[in-house]
Amino acid sequence: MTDFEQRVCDVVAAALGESNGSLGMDSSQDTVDSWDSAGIINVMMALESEFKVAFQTEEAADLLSMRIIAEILREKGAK
Amino acid sequence: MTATLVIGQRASIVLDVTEELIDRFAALSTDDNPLHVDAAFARAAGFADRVAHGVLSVSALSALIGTKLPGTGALWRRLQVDWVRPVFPGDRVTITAEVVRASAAHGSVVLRVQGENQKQLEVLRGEAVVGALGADEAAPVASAPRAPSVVAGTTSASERPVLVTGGSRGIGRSIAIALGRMGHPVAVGYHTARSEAEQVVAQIIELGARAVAVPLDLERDDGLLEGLTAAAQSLGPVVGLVHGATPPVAPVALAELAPGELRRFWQVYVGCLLGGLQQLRGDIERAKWGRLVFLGTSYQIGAPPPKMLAYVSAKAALDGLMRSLAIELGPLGATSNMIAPGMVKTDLNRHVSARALLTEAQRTPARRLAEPEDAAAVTAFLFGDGGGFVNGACVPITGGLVIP
Repeated sequence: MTDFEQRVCDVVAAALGESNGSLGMDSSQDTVDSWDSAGIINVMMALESEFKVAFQTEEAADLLSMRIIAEILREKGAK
Repeated sequence: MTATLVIGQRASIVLDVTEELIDRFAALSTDDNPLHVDAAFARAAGFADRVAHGVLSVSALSALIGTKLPGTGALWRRLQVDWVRPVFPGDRVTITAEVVRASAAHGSVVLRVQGENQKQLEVLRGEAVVGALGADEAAPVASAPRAPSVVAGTTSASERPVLVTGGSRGIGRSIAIALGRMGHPVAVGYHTARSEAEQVVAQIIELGARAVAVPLDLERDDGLLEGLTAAAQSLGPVVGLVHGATPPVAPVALAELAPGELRRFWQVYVGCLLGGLQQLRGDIERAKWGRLVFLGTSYQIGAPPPKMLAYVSAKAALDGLMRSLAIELGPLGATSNMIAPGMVKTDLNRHVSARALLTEAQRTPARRLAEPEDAAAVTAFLFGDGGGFVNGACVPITGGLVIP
């Protein structure tokens, strides 16, 4: 896992109330109970703050897995 | 003579096919057809090597029946056999016979017969009726394997050539290989990817079926007809079509769509087909069998994505054509169907972002994208006996992401 991916995992874990280091790149809505529609709003806000990017509201529906989140952040120029 | 035969009783014999054996058989039978004795001729006809005489494999069956099952005193009364794949020098053919039923009253035994090569690929199958001196009534044995009954008089896939347009790459490539594995002679249609098409041909020949690469220009009105004619020269009249060819697909907004681009998709999907379909109809009528499978898209089901107007509208036209052919060709023994895969990992989707691919996979109940082999498996089913009563259907291959 790259440093960037580790940061993404840590931010998502904190936003979902999961323990630090408990999530990895294979984590998704299928593997994390707190990964629900309410949790994803927290994740979006935390990612915007950490990576200085902006999400469109409709993008919340795409945040289905850690790999997708990392790919979206890369598209937005986050490093 | 075996005193007691039981249903399910089996015996096998192995035949190592060599060039010398084929030459000796050619001399014995006086069948010196160059397909059997001239490797260059056989290769030009789409085979991997000289083809062993079909009856050479059956001669091993004669030894099996006369010496093993039923054995001494057995005399052949009838044999029905389909040669499913060619046998070449270097092949090791295992012939297996299995008792299906026996009758003391008639003094006969019915054997189901199958031959496989060293790759476990079926080369022949059939049924033999053998007169057996002192045959007893065979008793069913609960533990014996119960094979499906043999359908008498069927034509094998090896006599049903197929053209796959777009057969050099992606889904078409997987379908061409799957149909070759079934034994169909396959014409691999290509537009520009000649070397890829020839690789597919080599792979199919390796599987034991005949194959040939056929160049296609489906932007011409007679594009399909020209392809069918070229395929028939090598493989015989074509009675199966898989239409998977497509222009390059990329999202284009309505405001930027050139008129020629809309026409191009409609031409390649539908406009090029008429003359070819008319020829196909005649060959299907003579063969009393035909299969047409058109490659559609899950975008036909529900709301399509934006900027895909040319692609989606032309696929919808193809869907209408498929349904009409189902009605018109059904009475001749043909079926016409469409497969509608979701996003598949192929060159066709190289314009799709990694994000979109990941999201599509994660939204799919199966949690993955479709593979070309998923589409090939459904097509193989539609070509097989099991799919014979499926006609006019559009089959989604979406892992549950799109449900009509």
